[in-house]
Amino acid sequence: MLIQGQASSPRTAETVLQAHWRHLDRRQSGIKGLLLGATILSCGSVLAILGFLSYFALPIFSEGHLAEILSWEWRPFQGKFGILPMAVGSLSLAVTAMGVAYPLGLGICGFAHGLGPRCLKGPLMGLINFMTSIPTVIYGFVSVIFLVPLVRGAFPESTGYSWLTAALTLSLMILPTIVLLVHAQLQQVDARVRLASAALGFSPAQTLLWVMRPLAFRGLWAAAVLGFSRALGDTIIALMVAGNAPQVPNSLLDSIRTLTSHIALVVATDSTSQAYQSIFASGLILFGVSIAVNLTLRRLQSRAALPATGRHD
Amino acid sequence: MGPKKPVDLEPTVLVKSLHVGFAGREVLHNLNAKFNRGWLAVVLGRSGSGKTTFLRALNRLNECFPRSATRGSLKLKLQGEWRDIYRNAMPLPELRRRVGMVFQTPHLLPGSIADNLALPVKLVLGVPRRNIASRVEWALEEAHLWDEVKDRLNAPAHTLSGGQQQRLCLARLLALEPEILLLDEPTASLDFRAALKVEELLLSLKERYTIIAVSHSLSQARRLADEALIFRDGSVVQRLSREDLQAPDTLQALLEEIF
Ligand SMILES: Nc1ncnc2c1ncn2[C@@H]1O[C@H](COP(=O)(O)OP(=O)(O)O)[C@@H](O)[C@H]1O
Ligand SMILES: [Mg+2]
Repeated sequence: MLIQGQASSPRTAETVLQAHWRHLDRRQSGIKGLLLGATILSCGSVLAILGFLSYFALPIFSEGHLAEILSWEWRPFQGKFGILPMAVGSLSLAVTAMGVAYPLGLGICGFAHGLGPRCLKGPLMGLINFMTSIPTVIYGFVSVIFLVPLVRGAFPESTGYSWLTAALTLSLMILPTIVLLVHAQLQQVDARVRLASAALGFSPAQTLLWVMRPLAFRGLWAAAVLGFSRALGDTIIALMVAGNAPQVPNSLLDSIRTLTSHIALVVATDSTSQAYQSIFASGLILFGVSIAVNLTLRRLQSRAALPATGRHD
Repeated sequence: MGPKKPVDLEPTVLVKSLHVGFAGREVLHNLNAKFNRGWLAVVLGRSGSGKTTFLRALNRLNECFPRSATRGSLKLKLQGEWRDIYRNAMPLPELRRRVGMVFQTPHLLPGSIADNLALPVKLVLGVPRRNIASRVEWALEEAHLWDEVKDRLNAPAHTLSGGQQQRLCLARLLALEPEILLLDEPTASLDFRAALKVEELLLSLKERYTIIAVSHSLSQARRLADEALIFRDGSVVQRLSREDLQAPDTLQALLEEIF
């Protein structure tokens, strides 16, 4: 109508419109092309990484080094290149860090959504948001300065560079990821159920536990999965405070080495080709785990939109 | 139905110079009203005239919104005793279960049909586990839903039709032994037949409760109301008896007022 008003005759109006549509079309196909390019690029690089890793890890299989690499001893000067201690180290560290961070994260979210006073929600979430913006290396650095001496002081038999220190530091690093994911999901659910469950006479705590928790299960899972994969993928904290001894830990006070820091350490030092092979194997394992994690996430997200919520306005 | 009047009307809700505002903007201005037990009052008015806000004032649900402010006196007769609900007469959960509310669209709890009733009964009323099943059945009977769902109590509640969901919400309310029922356009999301079923249910309940229902439909008001309150810009501008509602000339005036 606007165009009709501006144009002197219907014919010109039509041409203007057509030109407009052509313009929109062009813009749309431009955007489509851009997105397609981005998709191809990201898929391509993932595939390329997988390709490189597999290519470099191939000699392990063809030269029959697999058994050597999947063994329990890392003594490169004696020709022993086992990475299983590092796999155990990665797993133990990630699991313990999650063991601390996940309950803590759920607690914080619960506090922000009904268990705690309303006025503290803002500052708390502000703090968590701020935590995401701190570079990981700062966590490591602060931990070296404060936590390591603390652990050493409390347990004189330990150097302070230990599984425990790394787990605590790492749990702080992944905490914001967990909190923000769960918080986002709770907020979405909250908007839908708050009035109705308040009208039934539920207290905020009851609403959280009995109404929101079951509805937010996807967010709870996603936070667990993503938090775990961040813990598993972290390099710098493990490298700085876990002590890096290639051994299977006997206690929380033992020093451990993760697959990620193993890669960093080997790359940073002059090493034999077999040592290099071990880092490709490590990379492959980490890559495999993160793909598994992502697939799990995808399955969670593709579940039909929460069925149990009924219809809401 | 018929134009019968209960013999003795027992007042249960007294609203005096009620003001409600959000974030400094007043929505209800100096509102006065009175409601009785065994009496079905219908609230009519344009969208935005404050009908929902008024209902939410009666169970203090406006307080769930940021920066709401309520002034005036709002007295409810609960358990045979007059209470000024904004002067901390009873804990909020207790007030809200006694003054039950049904929303425009059904709001289900997660879980099965039975869960929807059992959860509030357990959490809010604290009914022991062994008595829950019988109360669930009683409430579903009350809401004329038992025959339709008795064979699938453990099915997810969202598998019910819209009308059934809304009656489930009513059943959930009744299970909490309320005294006052607030219904905010309970049939707005339903088709005509489902709406008639809900209306039938309301008429069967009205003897025992104080019912205040917002309606979006004049014909529905004529079928249900013992009295109609017309809202405009946050005040009651007119009060119509059942007879008034049936008269054709008021009808015309009302149509113009509301739509
Ligand atoms: N939570 C709220 N915050 C701010 N304004 C509100 C809120 N709820 C209602 N209002 C305002 O109050 C007025 C009346 O709304 P409402 O009670 O929902 O009217 P109705 O139910 O009659 O359509 C509207 O102008 C609306 O914008
Ligand atoms: Mg409304």
